[in-house]
Amino acid sequence: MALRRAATSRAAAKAPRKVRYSSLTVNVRLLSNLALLSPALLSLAACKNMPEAYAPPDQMAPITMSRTYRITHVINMDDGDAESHFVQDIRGLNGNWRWTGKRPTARVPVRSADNLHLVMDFAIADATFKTTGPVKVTVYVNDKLAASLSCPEPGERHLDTPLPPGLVEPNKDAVIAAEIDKVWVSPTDATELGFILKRIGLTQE
Amino acid sequence: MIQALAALLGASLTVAACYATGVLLLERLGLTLKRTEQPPLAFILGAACFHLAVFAVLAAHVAYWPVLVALCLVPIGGALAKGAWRLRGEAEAPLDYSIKRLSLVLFGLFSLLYLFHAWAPEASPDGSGYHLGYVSRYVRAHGFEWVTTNMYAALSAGVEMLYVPAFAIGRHSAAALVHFAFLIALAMAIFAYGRRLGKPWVGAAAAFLVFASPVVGIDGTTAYIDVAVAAVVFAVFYFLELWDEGRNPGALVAVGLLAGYAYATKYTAFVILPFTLLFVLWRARKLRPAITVLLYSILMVAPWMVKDYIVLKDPVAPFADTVFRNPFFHPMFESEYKELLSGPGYGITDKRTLPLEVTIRGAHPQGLLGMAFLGAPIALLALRFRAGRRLVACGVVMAALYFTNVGTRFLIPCLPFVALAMALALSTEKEKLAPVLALAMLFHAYTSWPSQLEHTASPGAWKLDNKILYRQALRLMPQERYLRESFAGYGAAMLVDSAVPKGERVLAMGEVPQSYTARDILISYQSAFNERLVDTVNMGWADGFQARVADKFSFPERTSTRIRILQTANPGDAHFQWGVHELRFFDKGVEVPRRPEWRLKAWPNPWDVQLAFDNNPATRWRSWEVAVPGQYVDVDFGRPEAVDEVRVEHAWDYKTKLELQEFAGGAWSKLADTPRSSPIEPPAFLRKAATRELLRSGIHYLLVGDGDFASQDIRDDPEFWGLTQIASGSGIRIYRVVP
Repeated sequence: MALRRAATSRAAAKAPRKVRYSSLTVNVRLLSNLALLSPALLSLAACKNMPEAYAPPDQMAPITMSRTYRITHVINMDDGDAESHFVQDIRGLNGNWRWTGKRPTARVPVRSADNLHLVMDFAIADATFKTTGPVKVTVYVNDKLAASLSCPEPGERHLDTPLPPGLVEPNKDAVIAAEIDKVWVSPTDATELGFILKRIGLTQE
Repeated sequence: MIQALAALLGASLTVAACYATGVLLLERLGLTLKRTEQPPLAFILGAACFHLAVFAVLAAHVAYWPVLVALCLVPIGGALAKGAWRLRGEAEAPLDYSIKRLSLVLFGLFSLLYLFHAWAPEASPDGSGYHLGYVSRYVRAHGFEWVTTNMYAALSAGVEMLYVPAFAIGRHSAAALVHFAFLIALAMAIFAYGRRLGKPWVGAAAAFLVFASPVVGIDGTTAYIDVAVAAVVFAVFYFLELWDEGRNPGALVAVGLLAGYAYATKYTAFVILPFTLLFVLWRARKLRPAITVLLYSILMVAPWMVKDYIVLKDPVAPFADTVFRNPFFHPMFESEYKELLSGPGYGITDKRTLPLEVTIRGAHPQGLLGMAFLGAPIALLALRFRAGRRLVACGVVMAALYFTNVGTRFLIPCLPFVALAMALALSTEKEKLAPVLALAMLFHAYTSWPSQLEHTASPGAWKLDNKILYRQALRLMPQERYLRESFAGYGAAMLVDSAVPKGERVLAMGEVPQSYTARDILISYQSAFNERLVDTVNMGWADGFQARVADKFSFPERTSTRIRILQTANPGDAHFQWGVHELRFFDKGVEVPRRPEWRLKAWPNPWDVQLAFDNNPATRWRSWEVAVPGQYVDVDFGRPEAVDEVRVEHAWDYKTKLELQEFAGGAWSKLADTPRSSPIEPPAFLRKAATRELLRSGIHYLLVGDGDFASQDIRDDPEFWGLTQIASGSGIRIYRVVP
């Protein structure tokens, strides 16, 4: 009997200490040992991440380029940042075009002044043409004459002409203005409409 | 209207599940709270436990919406069956009529404003960006994904786990409404704490100071998490006080769970855990209660650490990258990120401006606490009360990490303590100064209402709009229209979804709200992989990134089996790192061909060493941590190799010093240390080489914001880059990489 009691008390001494928290029972000793071990386990884990050595990868062969890099500084009217380039007289977006006033003007960044072309896609609307008749559009770059285009009838026009040298400087913005000689004036609110603009800017040959 | 109802249903079900879990646990722990305490504290405690259930469902990859609904219904049903819903504790003394009347008006007004804002379509930057970004991703995947390309997916996400069932049912607004529930719970808990102190005016005033604070208003009504963090931290403090009053061991279980949950909600909130352990040790003068707290906190912390260790080899990713080295996050990013958040990233260079910035102006630190918090120093007068000392101590602990991120919302977790201490400072034994507190509430209401902020806050401060969004909330204005008109990022996300095929990854040079797109967006800075690819794109056009110098080490021909380049300088520049575009070996003027038997090593960043041996001028190995002596690139030829020249190609760099070493006889010895430098012209195909590398890395789509670094060069000649523009608008352009 005494032996059994002693065995029982030894077993009790060896048994994990359990603490009752309300109706939850917690094995404090086991869990506290785990808690104390966890930083050691973590620090061991820190050493396990390094890779072995690598073999050389596939070698890239040179690529043949059929032409040189060309700069295109063209503002499409539906570009997300188009409005940040506008200076004046370019109105709200309709699809991929915008109405202009008399002298729509935009600013484009120029990173190179070599072999630049002035490009502009625009249209003379039937509705305004009925009032204005034939019109002339003159394009200025940095306030210097770059090109002019007569529009004897309504419809779409594409301008692509070499830019005379000396009009722009590299790494400076160029201000492009396209002035129409006659505008349509709204009889109700005196709004002036020039032409329909789709894109304007400079490209590199 | 269906969207509005779904949002309400998703949020209600999640909130009810949290509350039900909480009341069941309180009953099991034998904790009886007062009637005003039970709703907020049960909800917050339940949220802690419920988040683990959602974690388990995601880990098991069974997060289908019926499973998530069932997950909510189980505790709700259990609580109903046990009758645990009812308020069981003793009722407090009835409130003074003047408190009731003033609180009803002030809380009512702000609640109306907040409710509709939370219910309206989600348009917050971080909420729609990453908080819900990976929630939507997990919901789509029905479980956790191995996300190694987004640092935000590495952060603990204890609140976002609650957004999962809400989002699965009611999408974005449901998540924001869950966060709003935390805001209400926080205000209720603060109010209840004041009543427990026997100072209901203190409770009411402090609760309102927090509730009406402009940054709390906008944060707590979007799918952010900061208000929830504050609620959890305050609940830890509350249960600590309850334990200290009654020494009910069950309260320690709640304290442990909530302190661990604080870490699970946000890394920076972990400071409440040591505070808690010290408080328990101090008050109990025994180890065992503190161990109990620690053990239960581990229950909440461990899943997040284990997940991060399994996926990212770093239990606290994306931090401690120099301890837990991993290929997913760069130490340089970590140090620069911390530096930015400590002020410069917010445009704050002089920290003396912070008191005015965070209270009144709000533009730089993104949000403002409200003019009333200029009076925060008055909180020190509360030190004359025992409760005041404890509140101030906990507030100081919660503010301890504030200077690691000076955004105003990082002050939200310490706001309840500051507000209570401020109100307590103005109180007397019998609340004779109640009119002062009432005036403070009125002043705070007036100065924090959005229309008033239009005059006092800086333009661009992060705050609620001066309108009640009931039409947007009830979807009387279509959600699509509202988001397109008021949230530029939404249009960009829609553009990505329409232009990029499903399953494709998009390398993004700018930000896109990821919760509104089903494509995997790899944002430039959010992982090592993304940073490496952006570095490659930049090498395509920016000369500062390109290989421009060849350092040639010449020596009499010798036969070597292993050679390395050792960096020996200490540039003393915290932003400078070492890089090698190509490392080449020559013998008699002919390059030694790279053989598969070679073995390449580098330190640090061993994972990218192959980039210095791929013959691609648009890639490079970089240390991605500050250049220090001892960094190296090492080549074991696997057999004796005749060499008389070693060439290191790198970017312009006047800060490093290189030494060539040979391994022989079991030790490294110097071969040469004075290279001849000569300039290199980058090849014409460099831009195309960059996009080839994107293809090689599995990236077929590139998203560039119109104002991003490389934007102009790419749009000037996309064809030359090997790109085709496939969509543009909403301030971005999407390019497909031409194979």
